[in-house]
Amino acid sequence: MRISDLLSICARNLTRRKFRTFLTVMGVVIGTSFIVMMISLGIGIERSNMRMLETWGDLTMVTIHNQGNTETPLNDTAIEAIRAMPQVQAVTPVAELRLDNVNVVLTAGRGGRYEWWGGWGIVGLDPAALPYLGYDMREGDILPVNEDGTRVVRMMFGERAAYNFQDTRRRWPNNMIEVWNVMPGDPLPDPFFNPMEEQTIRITLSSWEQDSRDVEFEVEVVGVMVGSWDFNRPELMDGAVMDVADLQRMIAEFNRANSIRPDRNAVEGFDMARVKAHSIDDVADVEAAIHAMGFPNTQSMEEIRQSMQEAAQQIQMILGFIGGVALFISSLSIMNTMIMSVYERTREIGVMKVLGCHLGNIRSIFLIEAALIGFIGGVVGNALSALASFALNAYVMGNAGGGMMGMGMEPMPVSVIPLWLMSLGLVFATIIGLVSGIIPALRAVKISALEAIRTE
Amino acid sequence: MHIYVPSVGAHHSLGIQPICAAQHSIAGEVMQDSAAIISVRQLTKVFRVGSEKVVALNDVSFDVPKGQILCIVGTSGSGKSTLLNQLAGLEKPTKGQVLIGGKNISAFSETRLAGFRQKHIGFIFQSYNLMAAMTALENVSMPLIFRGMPRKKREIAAKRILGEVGLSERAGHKPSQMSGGQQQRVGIARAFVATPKIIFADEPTGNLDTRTTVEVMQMMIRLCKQYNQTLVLVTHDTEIAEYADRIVTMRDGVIVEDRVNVKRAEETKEETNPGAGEKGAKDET
Repeated sequence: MRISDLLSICARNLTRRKFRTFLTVMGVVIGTSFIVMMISLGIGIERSNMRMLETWGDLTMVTIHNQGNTETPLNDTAIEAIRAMPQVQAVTPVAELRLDNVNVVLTAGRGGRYEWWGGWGIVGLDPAALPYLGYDMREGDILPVNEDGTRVVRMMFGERAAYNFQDTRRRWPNNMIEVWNVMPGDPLPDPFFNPMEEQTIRITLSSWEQDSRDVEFEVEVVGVMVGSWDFNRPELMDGAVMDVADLQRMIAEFNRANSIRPDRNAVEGFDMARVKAHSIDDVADVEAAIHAMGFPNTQSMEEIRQSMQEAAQQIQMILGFIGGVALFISSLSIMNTMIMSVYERTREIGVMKVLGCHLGNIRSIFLIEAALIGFIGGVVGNALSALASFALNAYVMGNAGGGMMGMGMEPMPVSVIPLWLMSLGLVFATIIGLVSGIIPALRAVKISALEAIRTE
Repeated sequence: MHIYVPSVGAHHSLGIQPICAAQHSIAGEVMQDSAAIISVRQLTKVFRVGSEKVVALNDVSFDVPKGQILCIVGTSGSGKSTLLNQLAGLEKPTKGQVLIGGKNISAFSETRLAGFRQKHIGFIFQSYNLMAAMTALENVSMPLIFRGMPRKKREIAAKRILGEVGLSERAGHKPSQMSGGQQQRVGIARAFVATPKIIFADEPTGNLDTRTTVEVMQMMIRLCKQYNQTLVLVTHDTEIAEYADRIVTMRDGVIVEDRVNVKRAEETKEETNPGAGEKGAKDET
């Protein structure tokens, strides 16, 4: 028989008992939409977990802390070795502007009216790595590689770095603009000056010791970063980023000016390094490789991500199991329908056999009918779960306004149905139908041709 | 070989051989150039009913030459229906063989039997057995659908044969919209549409009134003769048997009489023998 003829016979048989077919299909519809909804809830949980982690920090980032181990210093050689790893997209050393007995102060305005004491959160990074490390700019440009050899110290400021400056000509509390209680995304008040336009910013290194010489550098702010509560990157909010080479130059000049010789026993190398893996799946490997190089003290979101993922997967499995039970019950109903149908059509099957219909064709008819029930149920079930998912998300996101927003997060959909889940639901429903049709089909094949002759 | 010998078998011992011999010599010319298309060899079928054994067929042997219209008559329980089922390969014999075209179909697998029926056998049922959900045209097309014939081609064939049974205008009707006679004509068209070599009919007129019976019988005979097809029909009605070339009477699982229908044979000789002979010759080449 031709496939078109098989299909038309099956369609005709299904439409012959419309209500029964409808009921059976409904079983599959419920089963499919149940399993799709359940898995979509699981995916929703996993996605909002991921989103939550992302607000805490880049999930593909590994931070290396220097141990103070002289055998394996975190120096340029080590950085190059890490850069050579295939799973590593970018790596940068992290150097803090910090020296024993040295003060750092940034000044701006006429006569150095505005002062930022301490310079905490100012880090030196490799500008070549910055584009890969997720520095989004609120204004201006990302810190460029120093190609023109300028001696001006270029910086990009954290979102709220400008509020670190105090006005030395005002009294407390008017000498500072408080922004600690402004939520991310909310409008910030104007700072005392716009760092992007200010031409008078200087950075000065000075010592408490007598007869010490200060060194001063001109600062150009090339951009202001978008802030975040990423605890691995405090520079995004209150700090600033400069070229690590500039930072080393500044320290060297200060040392030279004050005839300080670097301590030979001091640990050579950078304080930290940040490593960006190509994807989340590479993070564990990269971290292990770094450990193997002799840097046991690393930090990433990997562990917490994995444990959260495991938890989400467990929930997904439980939800999927519930859906699976629903689909299993619908498969029983398909089997029941098909067995009834075989009984009803006993004579018809006998006649078909007498007329020379091949056993394979009879088997196919029942298998296709069962698979069709599954397929139709799958299509309608997908549509239904898309609708339910849409309604649920609209309801939850409509209600979630306050609490989640307060944490600096947009509300996340609780139910996510990706395309693969839809196709999976459809394929699964069809296979369930097909499998449920096996026993009825075998029964149909076993019916004797003599049934056609039998007179009732 | 100028005599059609009905082979060795039960009827020899029953002492009916003289009758057979006499009758066959008359029909000899008809059957001379046609080899036996069906050969039944010592066919025995035993059913178990509870702990009892019922012998439905007891060592039956006979041959049917190509193009013959054979009627098996007998009362209910005579074994005639069992014999038909064996001939059509619908059930397996307990002992013995059914050879069709020289092939022992009793040894065929289910799959091979299906293919065999598809190619060589047509079947007409007492209760028509049309598919209720299908139109007359679709019902007639069924055997061609099973063969995998494309829609256009099979509809042409089905329409042609529906025309031959006089139902062109009923092609789009469903069985429930037709009378018994019309339904059986659809059944006949379905049996003939694939031009099988052998057609089996099981009480084809059992559910029809006298007038329709005549119509249906004449139609079957006409179609068979037209294409030199072999027809084996089973009935309890001796009047119907008179349409056949040859009448086999059964009782208690054995053949008690096997005679050539003299009247019919003479008619046939006059009417269709020349044509049938030519067609038969063509078929064999």
